[in-house]
Amino acid sequence: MHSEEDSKQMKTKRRVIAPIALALAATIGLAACAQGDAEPETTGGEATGQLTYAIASDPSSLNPINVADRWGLTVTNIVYSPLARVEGDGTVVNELAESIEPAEDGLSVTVTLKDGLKWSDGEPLTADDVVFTYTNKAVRENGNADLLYVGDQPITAEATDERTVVFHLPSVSAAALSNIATETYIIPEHVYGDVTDFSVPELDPLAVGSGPYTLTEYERGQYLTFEANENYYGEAPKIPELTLRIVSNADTVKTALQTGEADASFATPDQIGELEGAGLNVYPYAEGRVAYLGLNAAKITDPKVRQAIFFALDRDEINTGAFLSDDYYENAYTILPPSNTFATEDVEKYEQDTDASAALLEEAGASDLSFTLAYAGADPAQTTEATLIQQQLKDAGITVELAGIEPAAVFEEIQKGADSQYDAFLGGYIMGQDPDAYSLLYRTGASANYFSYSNPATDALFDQGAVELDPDARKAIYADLQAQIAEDAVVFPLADNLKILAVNPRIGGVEDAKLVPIYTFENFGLLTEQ
Amino acid sequence: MAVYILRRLAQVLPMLLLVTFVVFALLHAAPYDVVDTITTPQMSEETKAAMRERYGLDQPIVVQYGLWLGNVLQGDFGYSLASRHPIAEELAARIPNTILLVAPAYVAALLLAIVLGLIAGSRRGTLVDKTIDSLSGVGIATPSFWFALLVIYLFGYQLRWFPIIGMHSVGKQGDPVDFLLHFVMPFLVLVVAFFPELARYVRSATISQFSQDYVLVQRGFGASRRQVLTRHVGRNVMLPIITQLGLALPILVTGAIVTESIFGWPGIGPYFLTATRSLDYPVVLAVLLLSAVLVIVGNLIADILYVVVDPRIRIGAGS
Repeated sequence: MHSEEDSKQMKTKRRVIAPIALALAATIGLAACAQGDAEPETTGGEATGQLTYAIASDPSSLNPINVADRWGLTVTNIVYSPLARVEGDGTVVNELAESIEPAEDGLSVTVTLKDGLKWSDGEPLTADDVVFTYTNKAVRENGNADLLYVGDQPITAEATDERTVVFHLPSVSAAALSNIATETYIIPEHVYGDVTDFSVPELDPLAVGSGPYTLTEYERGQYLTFEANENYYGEAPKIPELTLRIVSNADTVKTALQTGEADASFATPDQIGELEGAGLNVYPYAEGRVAYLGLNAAKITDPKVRQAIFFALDRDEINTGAFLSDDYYENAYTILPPSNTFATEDVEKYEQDTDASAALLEEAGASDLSFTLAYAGADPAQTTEATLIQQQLKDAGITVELAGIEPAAVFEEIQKGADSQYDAFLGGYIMGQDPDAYSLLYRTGASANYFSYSNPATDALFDQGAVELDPDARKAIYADLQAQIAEDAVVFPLADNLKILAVNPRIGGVEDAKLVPIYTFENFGLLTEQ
Repeated sequence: MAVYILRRLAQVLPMLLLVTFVVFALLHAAPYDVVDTITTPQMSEETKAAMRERYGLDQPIVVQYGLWLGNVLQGDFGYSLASRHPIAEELAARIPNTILLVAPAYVAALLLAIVLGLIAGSRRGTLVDKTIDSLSGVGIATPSFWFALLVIYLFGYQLRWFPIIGMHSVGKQGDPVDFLLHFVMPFLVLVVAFFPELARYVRSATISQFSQDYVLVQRGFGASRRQVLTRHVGRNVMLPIITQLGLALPILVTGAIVTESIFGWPGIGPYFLTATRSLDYPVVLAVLLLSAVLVIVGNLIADILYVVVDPRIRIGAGS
């Protein structure tokens, strides 16, 4: 009865589904075939004129006046230029500046710009642009003025002619030169002169600078593309097109490196084996970071107890556990990273000494000591550090309770001092070359003094170091400072864990482009394709 | 019917207010705020305090919520605290990308589930049924995150068939072939994520239908299993499927958060995740509002469709 109609309906269903499935399969198959040799290989291949660098997240700000995050600074360094750079060993390399002369009295610095400087749009770069930039950067409300302040007063800039700028310091400051050069990228007055609010994360137009590349496109959450700036004052970029691809997932980045979809990206020690196996070159380098165990001095008040805790720790074991191999870290013994020119090893290093630890605990009358340690639960290195610390202290008779939480929560909570629920925490910082910058962490009442640490002797040393202009005398002051803080035992420095960059072998010139803290490369334009 | 719909819509507003306020309060219960996620140790206390003031974070919770609500009622979703970008613009750019990925995946998953579910349900107890059922079980238990990594490893790395990052290669926006290549892997992951539950659902619906009298009658009339399935059982199974469709509406916005994050697909997923992690409350609330509206509307649509499609059901019959 129904059979003919039924089978027709059935056939219609099959007639419809099967061709669709076939068509879909065919399209995918054809596309995959067509795609075939367009896929970049990890070795060999011709030059594409293009470099892809995978980054972990969107830049938080593309506005050079207030940019402070890693990727924002990376992009800013690609598109803009500073007056000068301070290298890791303290030397000053001129960028836009021809010469930088600090005055004898230490109250001013005269900067002469190079001749014939141009913006990417062809307009000349003059002293007015420099003054414009520094004046706006020194405005507190814009969000990043602190480096340009000496005490309560800002550093001011004055253009004495087309190519000369004089910076006036409100009082003597040894750190001023470094602060003037560091992280301040010059922006054009003729483009941004009408901007009324520089506290925003993006300017309009997005970026007109004087760096090796210009920004051509920014797709939020996806990528930023750059092309060579023809008006760049330095050497023209060897690879004309640059792409910063935003990929948040670490496993995806690793695979992208292996397939060649990304040419370079940061990697972690545990990925090295696989990446090298895939033929990639791996470059570990120091960022001048200090990873540390910090104690809340408002809760663990007795210095003997703090020292006892430190003597019970085995720095090497913690570091090898967290960073896998001493190829990827350098032991840190003071508040300054080991690569810092002011760093000294002439301090109490707290080499593991369980007897000393026990003796100090007894002296302090603290038995059955127990405390809570907070750290970033999502960070595998910190998790390993925390677990090892817990274990080592247990062997010394001290109980540690672990709290793995969000990093921002750690700092917010620990800053409550005596009211905080945590007694200790793990952290890390990169404060740069000048030791005066570290006063933000260790001075009494300073904004980043998470340790609730207060010692007038330390404050006095910071004050002295800030105004001492003689390099040797300065070095001596900071050596005393490091020894003092080590003795007060509020911070147990662990290591300067090296940043590891994995690069596809088709990309060369890594030494010339120079691996530096924060910006990855000092100049992406010096990378080459081979 | 119209009265019913109006009554249901009237319940929407209080529900939305409740949902958004609870989420808002929870976000503020966290020990830190969005300013903590964007400051560095180099910033002084004054700078951080100035930022808090600018974002209105120094005001009491109720005031902040009131301000946000006031803006939303005027159609202004506000700005992301972290990026200062208008949220409505970002959503308008990202939602189509998510829909482009999720809608075809869900439709494909549904078709697959219906076919497999019908086959399994009609051949209950046989090898085919057991295979499909255990396949569904495995599919439900497998985290989509892990499966995505597996797919990337196999098709992206070992076979090098497809690119793994994003929705299109740089500079190839609008190229359909390029898009399709980027589309296949996340599509596959989503289909495998969506279909097992649906397949199980269809299967159990089929089984319960098969035990009905009319099936016996049809068999008595000499209908083949195929004919019974397509002409009779199939249609009755469609009824609960339609309600599933209504409930699946919010999936268009939030159904692929993890997958999108892994593939770098520029949809709502990564945007929402980043905002949650940094306590960027205007973004979180905006997405949640959207999702809550879709859930409520989806439920409503499902209920209405059910009445429309099944003559046996009348509104008010049960109440």
